[in-house]
Amino acid sequence: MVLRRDLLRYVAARLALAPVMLWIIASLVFLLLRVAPGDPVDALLGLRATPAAREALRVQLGLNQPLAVQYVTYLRDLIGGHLGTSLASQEAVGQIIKASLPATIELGCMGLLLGAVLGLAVGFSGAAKPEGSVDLAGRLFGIGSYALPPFWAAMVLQLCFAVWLHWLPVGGRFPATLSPPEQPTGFYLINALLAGDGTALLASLRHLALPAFTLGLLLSGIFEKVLRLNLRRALRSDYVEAARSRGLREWRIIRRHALPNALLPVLTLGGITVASLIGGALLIEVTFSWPGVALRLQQAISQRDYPVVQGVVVVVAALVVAVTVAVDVVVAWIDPRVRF
Amino acid sequence: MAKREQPWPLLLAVLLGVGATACAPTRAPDHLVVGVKGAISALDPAKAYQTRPLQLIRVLGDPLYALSETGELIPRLAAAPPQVSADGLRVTVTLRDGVRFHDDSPLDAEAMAFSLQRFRDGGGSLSYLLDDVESITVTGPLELELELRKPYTPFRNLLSFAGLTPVPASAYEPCPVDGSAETEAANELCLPADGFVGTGPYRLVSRSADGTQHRLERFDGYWGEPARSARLDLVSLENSTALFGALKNGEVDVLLSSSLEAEHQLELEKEAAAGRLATASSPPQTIEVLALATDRPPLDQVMVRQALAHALPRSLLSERASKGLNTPLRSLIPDLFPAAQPTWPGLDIEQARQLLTTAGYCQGNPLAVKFTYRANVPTDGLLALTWQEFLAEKLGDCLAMEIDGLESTTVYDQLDKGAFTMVMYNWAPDFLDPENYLRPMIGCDEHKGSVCTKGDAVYGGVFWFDHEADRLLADQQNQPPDQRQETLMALQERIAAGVPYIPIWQGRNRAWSQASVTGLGYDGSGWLRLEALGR
Repeated sequence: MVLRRDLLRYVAARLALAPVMLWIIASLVFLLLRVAPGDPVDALLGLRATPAAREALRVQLGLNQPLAVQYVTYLRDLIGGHLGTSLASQEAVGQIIKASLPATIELGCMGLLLGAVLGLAVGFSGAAKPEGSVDLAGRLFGIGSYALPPFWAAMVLQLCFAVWLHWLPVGGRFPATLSPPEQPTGFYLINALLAGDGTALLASLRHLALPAFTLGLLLSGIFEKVLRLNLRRALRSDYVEAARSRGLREWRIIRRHALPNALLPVLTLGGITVASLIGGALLIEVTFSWPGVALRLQQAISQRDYPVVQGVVVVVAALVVAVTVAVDVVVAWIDPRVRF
Repeated sequence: MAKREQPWPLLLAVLLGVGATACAPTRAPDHLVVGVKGAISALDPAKAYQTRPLQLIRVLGDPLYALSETGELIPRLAAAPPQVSADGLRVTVTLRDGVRFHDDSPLDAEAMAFSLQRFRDGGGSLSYLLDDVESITVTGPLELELELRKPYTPFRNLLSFAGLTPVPASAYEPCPVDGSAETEAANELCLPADGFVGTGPYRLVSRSADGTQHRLERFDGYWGEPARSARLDLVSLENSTALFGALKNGEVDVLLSSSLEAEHQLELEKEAAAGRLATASSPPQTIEVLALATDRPPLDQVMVRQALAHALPRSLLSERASKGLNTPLRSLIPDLFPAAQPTWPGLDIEQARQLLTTAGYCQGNPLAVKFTYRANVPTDGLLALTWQEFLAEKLGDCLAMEIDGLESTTVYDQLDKGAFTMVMYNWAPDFLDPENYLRPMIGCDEHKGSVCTKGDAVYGGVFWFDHEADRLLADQQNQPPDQRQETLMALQERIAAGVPYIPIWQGRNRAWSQASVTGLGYDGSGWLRLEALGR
């Protein structure tokens, strides 16, 4: 299969727009942080530091410069690939993101996977036998899980499975008593698998289970709804009626004809969900002390750690842009009806 | 016929649960896990000012002195109490012989002087504590002399501050540079992320990049009594439920946090009372106060401020908002010091009404006061709501309180800008001395009349200046103990009369452990004795 010319043109346009989009996002974050009340010098030094110490830190951080100068410096560094240094920990922001992003991606992928499996299973069950008790229960599940406030759901699951039942850990990514498998990738599951380390794999899975399930539960509702609606629509379409009139069995019709068509919007939804994953992950990561990029972002915001907030937002925005473009390409590749 | 129930889902759930529980890692008896709230961002003693890093520094290193439970100065790295010259301007400290750092280098006067100089000149938050140290001179291999700009009695206690923990110069490296403009300009020394080198009973073996996990091992070359457990892991969790749950389900052996929600603290105290957990608390060290903007209406009238002081129902607030965990306080100094007398007035609604009437309020003209609290501190919000309701019921014709919650970072940022009429925050001392409660509250470098324009009273958001209070604050810095105590009491009376602050309550640091853990307790400086913990 070759890429169509209109698709190539679309991808090129999206990629050309990406830097503009990132510039707008980076500029907005820069401005909003400076407009927001709260001074990083106060956050770093507390209330009682001497004026001399405060001024020295302000000079060191470049916060004594006019806003325009700070902005130009920031953009110049950004273009050069330098995200700056954390005001709070003096670590390079690039290193902070490199250390924490894999945790978020691992949690996001697992959450997305669980959410898709759970939502699609429930949606499929409902659509296959519409208006039955399973369909009704599935619809209630879809509405309920979609409407659940993430922090509340996370806390309830944490209380049930970690605090009361003692089945799973309350938080963190790996037991403090073991050495985490940090090499060769930042993904503990993959590292443990590559090393053939069953103990590390089990430990990683135990810690991942609750946050990923919570995230998956919150995402599953939207998957359930989209699949159910599209599958029901597909099952009422002419080509399905034609298949039925040819005497094909219902299961074969669903599997071979209706389901593939109903799954296309789900793929698009998966791409869109990546952006909302970051928002969901923020609350999940804070509740479960998951050391991901969202938790670092939250800490950085409370400390007014400008470089970390700016760096994280820009990197996450770039990731979202990349994923949505990739999903568009895949959908266009699969579905010949899509035009750009 | 009734449909037969399928037992498989339940069986599967139980199997999953049993499997998940069975997979939980186990640990050796001399290996403890300690849970703390929030990540520990930096371990440089010269820069650290928050309780979490200082608690860790306290077990990785030693200060020159510590305070006993009765407030006596106990030599740690020092061999003897500090020798103060007759004029009070020179303090000589002799170091203990034979102390070694974790990298096996010896502790000597040069290393100690380096750390003290770095603390004073390094631009850290608390560098002001050594502002009055004119010079630090090495006078012998194990002896150094500190020259003060003026006599300062609390300096002895200041030498027990955990931030004065020595770290050898060789442990520092140039700060990491990533090529950006801001780091090119900086030419500073930094401690490597996992490179703390101290003299303490534990040494740092590893630290996660985000500061949420620290692995400590017993330092076999420790000069004092060795740590009881061979290994300690400090784990940071982000919220109260997670910390509470981690102790309850045995994930952590010791929970070290006063940031737990009141309900969780009460539940743990109940468990401890039933013998299922152990508990310990530090001496009361933290105070919570209302800061009143004395430089502008309506609180520029002292009568109005006094009325508010008379209208504060401390016992009710303590019971409702902190569930009795914080105890009412009518002094700016917590009651572990003899100088802490109940100087501020107790609840007296009639007196409050009388004062407000004299000030021109009541009878159709209620005083409108805006009260700001830290929205991210649950007890603050409860206190604000409770007090507002109390005033509406008891003093509604004289006083209308409007409450407003703001995130604490914003509150601290806006304090010295005069953004608040009345605001609530807490204060924890850097070292245990009455002066470390009073000077940071009312110290003033410049003033115009009764309004402080530069200094601690501005940072505290009260803008209050009083000549007599200023004189007493200066006098107590160089007085013998008995006389000093009288001066401190007179100073408090002076502050209570002017009412720039209204103390609300005092709090303690608390820790809990599994019942199998022994040795849980705090030292006189308010630090948990991690080295004494064992099974």
